[in-house]
Amino acid sequence: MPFGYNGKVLHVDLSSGNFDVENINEEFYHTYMGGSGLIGYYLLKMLKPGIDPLSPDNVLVFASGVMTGAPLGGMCRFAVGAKSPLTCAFGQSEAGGFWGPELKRAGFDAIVIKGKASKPVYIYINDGDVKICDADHLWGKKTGEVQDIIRAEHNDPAIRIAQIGPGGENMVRFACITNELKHFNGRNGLGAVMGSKNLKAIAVRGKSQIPVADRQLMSEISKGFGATVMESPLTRGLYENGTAAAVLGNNAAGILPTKNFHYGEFERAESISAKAMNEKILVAREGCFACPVRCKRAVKSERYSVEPRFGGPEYETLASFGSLCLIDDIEVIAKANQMCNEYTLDTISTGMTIAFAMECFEANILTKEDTDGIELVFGNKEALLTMIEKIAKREGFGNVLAEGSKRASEIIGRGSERFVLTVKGQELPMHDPRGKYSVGLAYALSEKGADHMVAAHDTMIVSKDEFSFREIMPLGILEPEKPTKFSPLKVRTFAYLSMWWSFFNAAGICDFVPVPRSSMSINDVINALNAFTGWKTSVFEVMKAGERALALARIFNSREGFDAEDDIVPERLHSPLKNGALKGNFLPKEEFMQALQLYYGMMGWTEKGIPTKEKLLELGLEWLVEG
Amino acid sequence: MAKVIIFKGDKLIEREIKLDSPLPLRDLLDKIGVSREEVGFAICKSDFISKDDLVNPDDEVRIFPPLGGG
Repeated sequence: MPFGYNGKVLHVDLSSGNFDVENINEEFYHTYMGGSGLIGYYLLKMLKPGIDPLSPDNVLVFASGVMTGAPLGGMCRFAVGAKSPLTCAFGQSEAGGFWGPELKRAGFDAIVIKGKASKPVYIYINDGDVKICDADHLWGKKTGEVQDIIRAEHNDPAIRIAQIGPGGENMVRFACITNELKHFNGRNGLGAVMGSKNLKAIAVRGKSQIPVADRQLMSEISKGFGATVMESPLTRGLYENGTAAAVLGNNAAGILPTKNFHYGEFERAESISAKAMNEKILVAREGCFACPVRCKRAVKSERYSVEPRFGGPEYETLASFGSLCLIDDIEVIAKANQMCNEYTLDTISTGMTIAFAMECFEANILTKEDTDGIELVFGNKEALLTMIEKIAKREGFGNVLAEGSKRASEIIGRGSERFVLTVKGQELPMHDPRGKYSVGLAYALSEKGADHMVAAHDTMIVSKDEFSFREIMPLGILEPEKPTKFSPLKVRTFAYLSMWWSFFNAAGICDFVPVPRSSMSINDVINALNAFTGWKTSVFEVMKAGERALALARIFNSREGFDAEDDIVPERLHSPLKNGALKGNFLPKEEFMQALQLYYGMMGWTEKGIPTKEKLLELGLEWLVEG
Repeated sequence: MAKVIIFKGDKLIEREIKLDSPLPLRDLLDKIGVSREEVGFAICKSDFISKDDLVNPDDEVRIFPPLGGG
């Protein structure tokens, strides 16, 4: 029996109701690591190019990583993948929480789902036993109620449930998937893919222990991390203030997206900050499986009936419903967050799509006649909450916005396309690349569309005197680079860190635990992987696995017709910031394009951004090389 | 007076320092008792500055710990 993983992938055909189990060998895990790598493998093997992402032809993969479920902080992540209905490109999104470890304890490393059920169903896995259950009675219900019903049906309050709410059922193109009501596979509209398959939920329960190859070494690493984690200012900050701390930090640096990325500083930022959250609505600091960092929040607002069991807004949500829409009421943002959680909408794309519509309204491209009588102006709190509900239900103008801002603009016309801020059709996250250039590279290059979780942000690794930078030097990054500069050093640093991050996404590791974002050293990450699996792996092997996962996704996109022409960012990012500490800064277009080409070259990709035959062979992906 | 704004935890702390002449940022940090190891980056006059760059007597400098995404 292998250590660290089960060696079993569950295949489910929802059209026939049949399922079977595929046994996976150790070489597969060395090669793909799970998560994003495993998803790339199955999507390339099983999907025909050009399919409709919301048709039964799409394949939906839930994949833990090789480290998911290890008894160590941060080893909780799992990924969901499919062809994205938002971007029509490689779709993949990771979540924390408890569902991934539970899946492994239930006997499977991944679930590959094809077809479409003839009526609503949910999959129930209990210690290796698989059932496809009727979900007629759950369809149309919001997430909290669904969780209560499924747990009651099986008389087991410990069942972990990944599910969609009405937003997913209605195939909102940016619908997400939630587990435990407060953890999310947020991006790329994968909840809509679940909805398109009539799949309401996957409920899992596992009572077995995942075998650990070297318990003593794992225990030593875990104890060492637990003993020192709160000495790290970065990790301590995540515990005390959560990701919300970034509101005031980014605002002071002039890179807090404000009024649909017109500005980098929001004068009322303090009212949506971690301080405001801590003082007004915070009731608990929570975390994921086995993690001492506890960066998650639980909040409560009697005024807006916000309940702690739906968690609390992260930085991305505070900015996307706050500064981006000029909303300064943290209780309204908490309500918007809860609504998205109950309906399962991605808060980033929801906020960005509403901000897009607000800008259209301000420019008189939209009027109250278009918006069902809603005064959709920046700062209108009630309009924000009303639009979220209408999007989830695809009611009236909400049906237009449920398509995402890019498609909505194509429907609206009238010059609205200049207010769309997407890459490959996915809305920008809440980080302004005009003050951190490699985030611009991340947005452009991500196979998933604009994504902020591709590599370390420039502002994390600026000073050689500081811990975060010193700790990534073993990757061969020996000098820091200025955040607002493109150079070969900047591109090489980004390339190496994109592989390191890609390894996290494949292996199921949260980036809030290892360096540079937190304090677990590179050596401890590798040692933990060896302790869990019994392998004798190395930084070299895991970096290659990360690179391989990126190449798989890139090949997937190439088959779908994407190339370098799609690796562009919105024009607004090439124009100067209008206020704040970095006023006047912008992404210089020519240097940006040169940096992209340099990255392709460093990665062994063509000028079109596609991995070469030689690179695929070097990565051991012979099966992808034609002829 | 040079104004120094330090972002720490979830707070912005403002300090005013009298400088007689331009001073390298690293010396300014020593002067106000901020450890160099704690500083991720600094911004002055719409630009990121290094610890070797000079701060003028009437400048505003913003000091940050490392800031990441997520």
